[in-house]
Amino acid sequence: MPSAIPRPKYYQRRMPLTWWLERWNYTWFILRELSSAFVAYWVIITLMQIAALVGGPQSYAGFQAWMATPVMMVVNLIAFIFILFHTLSWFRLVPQAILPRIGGKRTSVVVTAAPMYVIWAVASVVVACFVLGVF
Amino acid sequence: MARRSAESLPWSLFGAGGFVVAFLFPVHIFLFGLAIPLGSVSAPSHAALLALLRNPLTRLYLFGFCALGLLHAAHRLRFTLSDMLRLKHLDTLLGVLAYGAAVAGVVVTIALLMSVT
Repeated sequence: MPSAIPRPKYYQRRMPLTWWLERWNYTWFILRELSSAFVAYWVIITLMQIAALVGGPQSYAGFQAWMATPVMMVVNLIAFIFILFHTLSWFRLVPQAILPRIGGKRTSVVVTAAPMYVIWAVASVVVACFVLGVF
Repeated sequence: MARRSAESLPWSLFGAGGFVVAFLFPVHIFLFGLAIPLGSVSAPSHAALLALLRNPLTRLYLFGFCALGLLHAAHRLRFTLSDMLRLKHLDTLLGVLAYGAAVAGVVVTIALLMSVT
């Protein structure tokens, strides 16, 4: 039986599982992407907080005591750093991807990122005022 | 007119989620995860927070906060695991697991927010 037309074999570089540790650029990329694990973590904490609030004053006191344990404080600090990393990289990259040029001119990162910081500041103050009972 | 691909819904939810996370998550983690447990700011009482939670607008806000956050995380984790651990051949499975978990989380969120009385 004649063999089928041979298909070319493409060269595939074997990459070790630690490829993302080879260069800082790769490591930063993976760390930024991993910030999403902390997003999921914080959603779960928020859902537990809502459940504790619905459960009554005692269950909410339990939630607050748990959040004040050293382990949770450390995890939350790490989560906070990762989320800040997400915020800063999102402001830098995404508006520029959406508006690569305005009026035929290449937009600078400053022009697209500056309004993001203003919105972020206003949103944070508004949320904090609601949570802390200023409104 | 641009043809819409089957991936455009996950992508737009991913993008919306990215903005929600960028604008709103830092202040939530800072307040509830660090400042309040440390006692840097006076903790709002259970009654005050429950009153806030009873407002339908707060619950709508929390729905967007949780649902878009989960979908954003699912989308990103799927591609991160696939790239980082070179699991391209498992891409579909990872997608089903990640989006499945996110949708389950959204259902839990809705049930929880509806249980507020």
